[in-house]
Amino acid sequence: MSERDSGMTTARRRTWVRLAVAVLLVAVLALLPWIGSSFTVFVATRILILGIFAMAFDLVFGFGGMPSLGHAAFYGLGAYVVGLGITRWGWGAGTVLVVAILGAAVLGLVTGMLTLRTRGIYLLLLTLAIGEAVWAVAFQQVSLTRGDNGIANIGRDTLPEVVRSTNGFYLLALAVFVVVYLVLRWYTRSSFGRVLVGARESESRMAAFGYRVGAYRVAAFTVSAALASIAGVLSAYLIEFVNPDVLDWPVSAEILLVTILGGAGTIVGPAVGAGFLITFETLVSQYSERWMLALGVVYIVVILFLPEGLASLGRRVRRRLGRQGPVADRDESDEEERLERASETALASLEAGRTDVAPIPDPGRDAQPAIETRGLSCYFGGVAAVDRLDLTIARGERRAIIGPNGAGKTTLFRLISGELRPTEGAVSILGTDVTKWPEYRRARLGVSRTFQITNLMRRLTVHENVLLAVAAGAGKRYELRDLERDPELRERTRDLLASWRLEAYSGEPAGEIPYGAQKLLEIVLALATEPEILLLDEPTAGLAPGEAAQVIDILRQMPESVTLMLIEHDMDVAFGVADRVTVVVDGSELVTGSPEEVRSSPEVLAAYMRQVTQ
Amino acid sequence: MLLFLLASGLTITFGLMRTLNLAHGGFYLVAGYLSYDIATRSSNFWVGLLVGVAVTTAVGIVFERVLLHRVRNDELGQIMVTIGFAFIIGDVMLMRYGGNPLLVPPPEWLAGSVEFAGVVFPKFRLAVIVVGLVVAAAIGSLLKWTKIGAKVRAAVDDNEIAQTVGVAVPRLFMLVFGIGTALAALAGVLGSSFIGLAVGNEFRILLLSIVVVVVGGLGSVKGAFIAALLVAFVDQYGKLWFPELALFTLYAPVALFLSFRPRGLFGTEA
Repeated sequence: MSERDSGMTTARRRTWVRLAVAVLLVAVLALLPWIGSSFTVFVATRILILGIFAMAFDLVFGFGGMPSLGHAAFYGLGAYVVGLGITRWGWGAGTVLVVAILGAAVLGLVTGMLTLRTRGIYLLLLTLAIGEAVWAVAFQQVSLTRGDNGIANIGRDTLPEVVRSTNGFYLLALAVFVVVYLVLRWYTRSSFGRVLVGARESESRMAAFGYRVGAYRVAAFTVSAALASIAGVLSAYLIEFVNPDVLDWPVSAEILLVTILGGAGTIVGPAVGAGFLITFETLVSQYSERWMLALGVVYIVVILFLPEGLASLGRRVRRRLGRQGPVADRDESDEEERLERASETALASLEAGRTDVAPIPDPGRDAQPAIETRGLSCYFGGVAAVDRLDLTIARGERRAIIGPNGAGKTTLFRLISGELRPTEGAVSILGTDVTKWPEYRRARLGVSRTFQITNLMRRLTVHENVLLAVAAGAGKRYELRDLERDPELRERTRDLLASWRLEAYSGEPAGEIPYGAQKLLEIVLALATEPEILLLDEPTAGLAPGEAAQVIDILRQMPESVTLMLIEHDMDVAFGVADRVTVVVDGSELVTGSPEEVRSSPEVLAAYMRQVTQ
Repeated sequence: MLLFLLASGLTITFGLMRTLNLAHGGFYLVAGYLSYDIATRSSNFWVGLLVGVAVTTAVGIVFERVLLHRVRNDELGQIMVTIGFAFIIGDVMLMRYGGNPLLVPPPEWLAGSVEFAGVVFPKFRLAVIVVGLVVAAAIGSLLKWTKIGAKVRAAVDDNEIAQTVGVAVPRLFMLVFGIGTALAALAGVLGSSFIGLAVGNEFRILLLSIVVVVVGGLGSVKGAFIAALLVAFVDQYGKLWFPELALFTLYAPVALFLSFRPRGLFGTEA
């Protein structure tokens, strides 16, 4: 206990030190107007504004993993609201700000929804098209925006008097910078930010937990757009001029550049990148007119030599100096032993802990089968992968689905988990017709699944992986508080890790722990949502025989309230776990019965033999 | 047709190398300026065309070998590197030739116009259309009938497997990038003869050709051909009907189209 206490206080002390450093830094920055020239202050203001924009952008890019090339639209929208609002419509600063934020948020919402079906380069191209469409409006609606000539003489008369001067405006930008930083800090720690990052790492896993991934993406786009527009508003007030260039794609590309330069996926890194780029620009512009040339070189140098940003430079240096991570002193050969111990304690905890969390008996619901399919069919271009399949799995049953290669097992699995929609027929879970339900809604009914190939949030720590599962299981999907600070979630996560003997890996990225432990974590994640139905897709595939035996042991001792459905290729595993076995051949049910019946069935033998001889 | 020339180069580099080459517009520009330079000095359009295309292609191949191949398999990295290179090209051209738009004089026998069925066509534009059709046919048959084409298609389909069965993918990449650059250069020379040359223009025309490539489906030459016609059509009629919204009527539908059919008309699963 005392060890944990001292750990807590060190952590707390570290937080205080960090806070003190941050306050000091802001205080020093706030002193700049009294020590720097007005040109320096102007440049510093530009850095802050670009920094705000970059931080906002990184929410979508670094945290969300969505490479947008249309963020200039949100930024420029803010700038244009200033230009038009002041020179045309006589708005005050308050109105301008509200309209800019709301306008950009709506545009961000629409953009986010439009991009839902795209990933990677396609998302990049789509956001580029959206950005260019917005640019086109500013460029060609000459009667409103004066097109290419832009809107000049914006003036700061509408601002409160204290922030009209260069120095005052700088302090305003600094204050906004701090506020935006705090907003992002809060956002990335809430479940909105954490699920966003989780979805960046593995969308399918997050959906299997019961998170509606798209909602988090759209939310991120909306918030990011709103914050970016604030940067745009500030920039228009700063240079008192706006033209279509602020909306054009080189601005989007530049924000991408500074974000990569500073370090994507961190809050303040992109702002540091912005500082570097603008400082460099200022220096180059003093000696030469060839800024574009220099900028081109910066693009190439950053991508080729600093693809993970400036922060990675520090990390690389530290690694050179010989500081090694905690993984290094652990031996892979310990793994088997570790797993064995893990399964023992896990079994103990399952037996001990499970009884008191048994669901409140509901006779109406309990009478319903856990999984029921009626006439389920799925065609791929005319070929029936699953063909009019009727399947009923009672609650608490352990059912294995086996069959030769290409029999439709995996398709059946995906139809039940909700990853695929059937061509015909219906799926019911716990008596509810879920045929048209997406995966995340089925998960909320109490369905959980494993993936055949380990599907973890590889760059998140083991602890964070489990935390996301636990939070989903507890129904805390739209939590505004920091998930790490929720004592209930923390405790459950820690207990799970301890009982599965994974706590040693707790702080390490899930993708870097040994494969056996990853496979174990896969099962832990599926159980962490406290499912009533657990779907397992070849849980022992890729494991060493010893490890496989332990996984089978774990499955065998699952609490009786949990229904298991297991897709297996390996007959031994299927017969070892299941109390009933269904053999699927060519998308249809061949036989269902006890393991003994199936084992001795001549039809089953024939089906397997047919495949061998073919 | 000009759009198709530019877009076909873009689409084959993407299709094979999964590289969205944003320096493509830069190559267009280099070729245009070079051919202008040489054509006015030697007062021979054809020498300009030849040298422009050849030198630009060489620049493209060197760029691919020296810089681009280092970021293979990193789509975003490739985009950023090619953007950087495009900025460099643009600035160098600005330094050398200044900011005033230039027009390459076409050869005399293509200077006039012909009348056909009561409609007047400038000869040069007809020539561009002919070149476009020839190139479309040439690329199509190259991919379909020759051994190199087969290798290219194999590498598009599965890069790794193609390597293991003995296709020299890196060399093929260089070749394809060269062809892509050559097409951009050809478009640059021809384009500079009727839309003129100016730094900054290359990005507008690049964006148009990206639209073409995307709508057609990344990597599909056939798609690029159809989409080029479609986009040119929408662009022209947009200008005619809603002059104040012409570009918006181009990009907004493309954005909608992409959000529902991200892979374009003839795109394949990535």
